[in-house]
Amino acid sequence: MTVGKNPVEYIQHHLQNWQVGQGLLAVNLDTVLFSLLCGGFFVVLAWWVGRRITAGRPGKLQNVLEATVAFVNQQVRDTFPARDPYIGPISLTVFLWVAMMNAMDLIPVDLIPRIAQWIGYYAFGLEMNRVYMHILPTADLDVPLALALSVFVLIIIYNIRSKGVGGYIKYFLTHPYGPKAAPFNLMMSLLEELAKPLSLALRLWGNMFAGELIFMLIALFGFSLWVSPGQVMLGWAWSWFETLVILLQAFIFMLLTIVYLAMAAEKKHH
Amino acid sequence: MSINLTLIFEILAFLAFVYSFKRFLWKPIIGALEAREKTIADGLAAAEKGRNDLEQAEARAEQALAEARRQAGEIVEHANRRAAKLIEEARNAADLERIRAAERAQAEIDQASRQAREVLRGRLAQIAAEAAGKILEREIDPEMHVGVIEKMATEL
Repeated sequence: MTVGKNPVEYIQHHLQNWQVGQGLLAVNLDTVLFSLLCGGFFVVLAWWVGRRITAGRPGKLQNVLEATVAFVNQQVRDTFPARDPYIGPISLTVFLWVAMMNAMDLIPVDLIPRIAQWIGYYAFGLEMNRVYMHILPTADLDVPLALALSVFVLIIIYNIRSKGVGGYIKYFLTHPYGPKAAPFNLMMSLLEELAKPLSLALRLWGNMFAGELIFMLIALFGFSLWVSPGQVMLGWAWSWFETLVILLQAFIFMLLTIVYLAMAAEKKHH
Repeated sequence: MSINLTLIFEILAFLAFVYSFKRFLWKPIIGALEAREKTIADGLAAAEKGRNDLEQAEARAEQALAEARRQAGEIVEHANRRAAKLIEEARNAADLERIRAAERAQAEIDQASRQAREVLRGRLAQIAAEAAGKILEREIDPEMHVGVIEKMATEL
């Protein structure tokens, strides 16, 4: 931590995004930058491997990618009722992108913000405390919500594609208590449908936000040389635990996406 | 912690990544996986077919071998029968020949004995005539008495 700053200021500073613009029209540049880097990493990796992809004897990197793709494909096949050219790539993108963005949590919390502060100070003459860099995109509610809303729109599209507009409206009016309770059904179904993206977004965001906060608290723990070994131990242990959370949250987001879209793609609702 | 324009950018990023991942990651990898699966399936099918062919060929060979064995048995049996027949024929021919030879010998013997008898008869007539001449002390004119001698000779 920056010596002489109080813990609340330290944490608030860490959670502040690098922004341009004001209010609703503001853009969190650090979130956009790191989310694009995380996704772009896989595009470059796929391009690199794809140049000499082979069905015969795959290389190590191709093997890893094949295992990942096959794993996602298996999840899709187990859950999704029909063959669909988009569900697989959507699930793969959700899983890999979210996992990679989550993995930014494992980079020491002070490392990149500090480098950004130095660059801001020495290259642009900015005041160090006014340079903000929040590198964990999934702890910025915009990203989980963007993913969840995209899934929400996909749910509507898949519903309309499988049931038709009339069938979809009918589903809202007759589910779950039959045609006699139509207004009540409409309310329940709307709640149910809205709960899907909200729970998706908030689950991921809450987990990553809380995990990052623990790292910040551990970083605050280094107030004396005597407790430094304890701080290192804590950071080490929490990194392992977070690794599980990172993969688990990415997996859950992917699996729920598949499940929601599978429900939407079914002809008849049960 | 508030929502702002970043949301829109991230939605666009998500769509772009779905497209890119589908194009660069999903399609090539799934293609490679399916191609490999097909290769393996084809290989297994070919192995299965090869095994079937081998079994069929073995059955055919077995059949041909049995057929050949049966034919060989037939040929040997045929040859045996033929040999027995030849021996029989040879034996019959030899028997016939033996009988014929015996008959021939008998005929020769008969003829020789007849000739001997003729010669003997001739000599006897002569001897008898000479003896009678001596007894009678005079020449018997064979021309005179040829009738008598002839008569006697036939009585011998």
